[in-house]
Amino acid sequence: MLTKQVTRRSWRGSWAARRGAAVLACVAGLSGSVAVAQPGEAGLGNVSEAEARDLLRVEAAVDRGLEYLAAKQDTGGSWQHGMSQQPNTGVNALCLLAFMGRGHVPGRGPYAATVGRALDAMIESQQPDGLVVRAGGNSHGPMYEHALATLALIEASGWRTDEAMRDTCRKAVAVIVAAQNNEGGWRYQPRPQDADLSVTVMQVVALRAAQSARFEVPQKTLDEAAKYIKRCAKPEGGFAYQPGQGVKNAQSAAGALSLQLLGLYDDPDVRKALESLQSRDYRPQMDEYFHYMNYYAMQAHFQAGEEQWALWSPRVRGLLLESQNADGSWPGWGEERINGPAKNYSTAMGAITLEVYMHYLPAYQR
Amino acid sequence: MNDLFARLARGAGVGHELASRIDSVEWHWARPWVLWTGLLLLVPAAWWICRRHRSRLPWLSPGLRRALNACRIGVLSLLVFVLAGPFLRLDERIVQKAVVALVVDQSDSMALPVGRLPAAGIGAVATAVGLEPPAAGDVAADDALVEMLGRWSRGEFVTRLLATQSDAMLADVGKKYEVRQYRVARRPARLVDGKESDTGGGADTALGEAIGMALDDASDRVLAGIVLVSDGRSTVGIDPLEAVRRAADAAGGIARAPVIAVPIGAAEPPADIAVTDVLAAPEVALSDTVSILATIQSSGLARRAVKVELSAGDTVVGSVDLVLRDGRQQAALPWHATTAGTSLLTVAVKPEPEETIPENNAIEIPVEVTARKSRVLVIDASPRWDLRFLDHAIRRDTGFEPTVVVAGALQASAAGAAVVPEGYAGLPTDAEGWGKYDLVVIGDVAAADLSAASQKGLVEAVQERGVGVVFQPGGEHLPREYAGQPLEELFPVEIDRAKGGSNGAIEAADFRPFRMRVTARGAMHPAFALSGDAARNRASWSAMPPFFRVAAARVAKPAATVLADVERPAGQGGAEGPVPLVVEAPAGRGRVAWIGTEETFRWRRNVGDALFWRFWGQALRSVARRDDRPWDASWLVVTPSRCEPGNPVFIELNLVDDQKKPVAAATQAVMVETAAGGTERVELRAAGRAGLFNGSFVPVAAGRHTLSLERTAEAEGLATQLLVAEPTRERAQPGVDRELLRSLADLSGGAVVEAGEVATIPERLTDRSVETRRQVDDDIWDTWPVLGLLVGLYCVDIAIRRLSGLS
Repeated sequence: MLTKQVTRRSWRGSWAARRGAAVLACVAGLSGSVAVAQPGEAGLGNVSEAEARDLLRVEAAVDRGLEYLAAKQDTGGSWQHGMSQQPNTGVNALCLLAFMGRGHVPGRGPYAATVGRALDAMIESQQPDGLVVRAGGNSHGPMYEHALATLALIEASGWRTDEAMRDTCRKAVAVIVAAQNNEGGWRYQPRPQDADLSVTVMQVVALRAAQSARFEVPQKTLDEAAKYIKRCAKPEGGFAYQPGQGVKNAQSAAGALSLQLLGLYDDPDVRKALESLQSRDYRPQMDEYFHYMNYYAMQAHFQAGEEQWALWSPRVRGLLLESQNADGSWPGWGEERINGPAKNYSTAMGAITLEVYMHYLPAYQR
Repeated sequence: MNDLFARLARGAGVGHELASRIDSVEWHWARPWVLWTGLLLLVPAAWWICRRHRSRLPWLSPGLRRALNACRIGVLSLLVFVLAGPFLRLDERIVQKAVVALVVDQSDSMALPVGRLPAAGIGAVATAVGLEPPAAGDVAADDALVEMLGRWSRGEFVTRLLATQSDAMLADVGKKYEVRQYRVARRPARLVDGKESDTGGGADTALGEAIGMALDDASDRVLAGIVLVSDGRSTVGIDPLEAVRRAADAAGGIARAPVIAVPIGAAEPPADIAVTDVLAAPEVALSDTVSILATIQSSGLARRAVKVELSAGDTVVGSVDLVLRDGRQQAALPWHATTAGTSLLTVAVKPEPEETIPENNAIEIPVEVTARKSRVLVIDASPRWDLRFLDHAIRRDTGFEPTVVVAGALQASAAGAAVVPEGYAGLPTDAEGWGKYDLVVIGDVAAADLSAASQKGLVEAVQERGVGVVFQPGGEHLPREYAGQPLEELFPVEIDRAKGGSNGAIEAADFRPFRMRVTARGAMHPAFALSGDAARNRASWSAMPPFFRVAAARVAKPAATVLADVERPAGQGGAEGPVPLVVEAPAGRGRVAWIGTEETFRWRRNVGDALFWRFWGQALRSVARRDDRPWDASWLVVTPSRCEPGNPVFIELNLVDDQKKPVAAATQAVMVETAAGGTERVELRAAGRAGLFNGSFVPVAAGRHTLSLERTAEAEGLATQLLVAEPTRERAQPGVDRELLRSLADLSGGAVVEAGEVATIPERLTDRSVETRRQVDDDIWDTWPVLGLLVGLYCVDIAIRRLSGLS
């Protein structure tokens, strides 16, 4: 590097001197002075510095996922799933939860408009009988969508606190309570007929959120739900889709989380289900509904405490950080056939799975 | 000879700098064409002058005529000289060596053993530290060397390494670069002329600060590299990665200097068990059984069964068996609180024979046992997220007996919570009713739901019965609806009555959210207590995630203390200066606090309840009425009761006389007796209400300190204890943080260089010396000799003409 500095005492020199000083100033400006650094965020609570760095990567991945989702939201506040023109309430609810799970709550922050539009669309989709399902939305079973929508609405009711919002939530919770069958479980339709664990776990999460937000949830409903879930447990460890069927990984995760949210943290079936999951080769092929399984397994391991969390979360973190696409979305891993080719579902699931680290959604507080 | 020329030049009016370096200056002409043209014209002009003088002045003697010719030609020559603009130029090239910063870790963790280095390459390591390398293929000698080096302390290893390299690698580096040496422990320090500087003791490592200092020092120079000799444990100050990142950002995204990290210590962590953290409620109620959660970090001892013991004093009061698994594990130890007062609990694991660092096997924590649970009433208009988390957490804390009342339509109870069946209608309406609670938390409650009589009753309960109140405003009702209402008297802040946002809240710009800044006083306050290090407390809380809305408070009231604030967006909230965010104030016999955000849920990020409830639990306790601190008795409290040297503590005194009346005075004094026997006088000033005094004190040395009131009639026996202890962070995680060192190297474009490869460091540095060409010019036509010569010639010319009778 060569710089030239000229100093002159005469009138000619003064110009040259100014020019030299300007050159030096530029050089100094390029090399720059170091800004006073602010305290880092490492070392909070019981998080080691290495973990803190991983958590920053997790946050960055979630933020990229949310950027993707924000860009994909349509003007009506919904997200397309790609299987029909009508949006699916369940996918919308998952996207809304993905934003709130990162702290982008209604009325606050850079995604206030995105979240507001999504919430308005969800409220509008509520039917007069309380069911929160948009007609024609390629519903795979309205109670799936309804439970997810109820969860999203109840979480949003912490920020939109008017009476109309409370009514919306109250009616949505009432639908769930009324649709419980005599075994204690729920199935696709909002009627008390048959039941399966896959639908039931979503209702349990929504009811748990409702209870946390102090909506009326009969204790009997929760007790009966626990009985049904216990019936799906297998003696060898893990849970089945319905009583009498074989163990499925997604159902093991769902069953464990359901019992935990119902307060049965120390139930042996929970421990055995988690052990069953941990014994499997963790990869997207381990279940045909991998995102579904991943989300519930992540929550279940968090609910199970520090040791279980330490065993499970690094695998999930590693896979999701490695597999995120350059545009911020996550691959569908085969669930496209159910939830549509658009990557909004898989991206929302990827984001909310990683957001378990953030502990923001009150429904899942341990 | 040069001196002579320099003197002559100086005498001739040349500037000092050029005259003193006269041998290096060159003569130049500003307008050479004027010179050459002038010289060309001068020849005919001279001929013409001579010819004219010969024809016009034939009677003049030839000598005088020649003199006259010379004068005229001389004047013309001078004119040409001046017009040509002669100047002297000093043209020099200055080569400025690039800087290499050598940062050496001197913290306590460097006293840990090096550990078992890999046998492959041990010969190179031996050479690097000045030992004779073993013969090639001599496995036994390699092993012996590994054993020997493994027993060295990291500090000793570094000393030997630097001593050996001072004549080799460092000497090489020094030829091409300016080497600046730094040492780092609790703070960084630059070595000037090889003299050791004060690094503040080895209880912490401020690697980020050291990197920042090296970068700052070289802000006007080119930094060829930072050689970091460390075990990579950074326990205080800014994150080293952040220091590098910020420097790169300031330089337009280009790394300022490569970090060449030399890890000291074996990659394999030593066999060790460390109790790294103990989580316990800071206060529990008498007769409660609580769970003390200990985090155990272990390495090199997998599958070993150990016993984690909980002791109160010398008595083991509980234990759990744990089978170690390399990494972090938790152990829950039940503890039954049997005695009111402060219990000092110790969680410990007996050292295993292989352990080299037994001192990190135990942690001591104080737990306050209160005679009864604190009765808390929480009121809110809606289940805001903060309320949902608070509702859940407060019920899990055995020191509280909570009642939560949410707007009438949402009275359904979360499992296990007390319910007021009538909802808002069941709230107290007079001081007696409110006085049944030790603390009332008022959320975003509409003023219409708290009648004027009820508000007056609460004010009286606080001022006369010592009830505490915590306000947590939201977006809808509190604080704006309370302007002019009785409850406003209790607010520790002045609210914005005129305007300040549509909901009495101040909104942040979407991309410029609020960041909480904990004040110096806040860092000492129990609400924000995390560790015994106030600076760490402040840094940790000030690094909480940002948020988007705060209650529109103008300023804190005169007697109030601002514990945290946020920057005020221009023109908002009807005031200038920061917006008070967390404020505490005495209010008669009680206390009040203001938490001006409903987004404390964000403090759960990544750690769940750990910080959220840490703040809330401590804040509620600090405001609630306490049996052990009644307004009508004298008491002396120091906060925190346990700290690290160099950290301020807050002293609070309540002083009443024999008739239990508050002592009215402007000041009181407390004597602090240190462990070494010294005493220090600390003055406390009146604070907010009669009888209450406060002040602060900074202990400088470890040990038990006794604080007592300066001897007065009221002060008999009034004393309290302060435990000052050095931190154990440095030894809690004895492994080498190679990941940090690798990340630093990657981020800065540097490299990780093992001890055996330090000789390669010079070739890893890029020579970025700066060559500066410097020119100093000095005109010489406007000097006094030129003027003198001109005047002289002119005078001679006139003299000749006059003497010759010419006009």
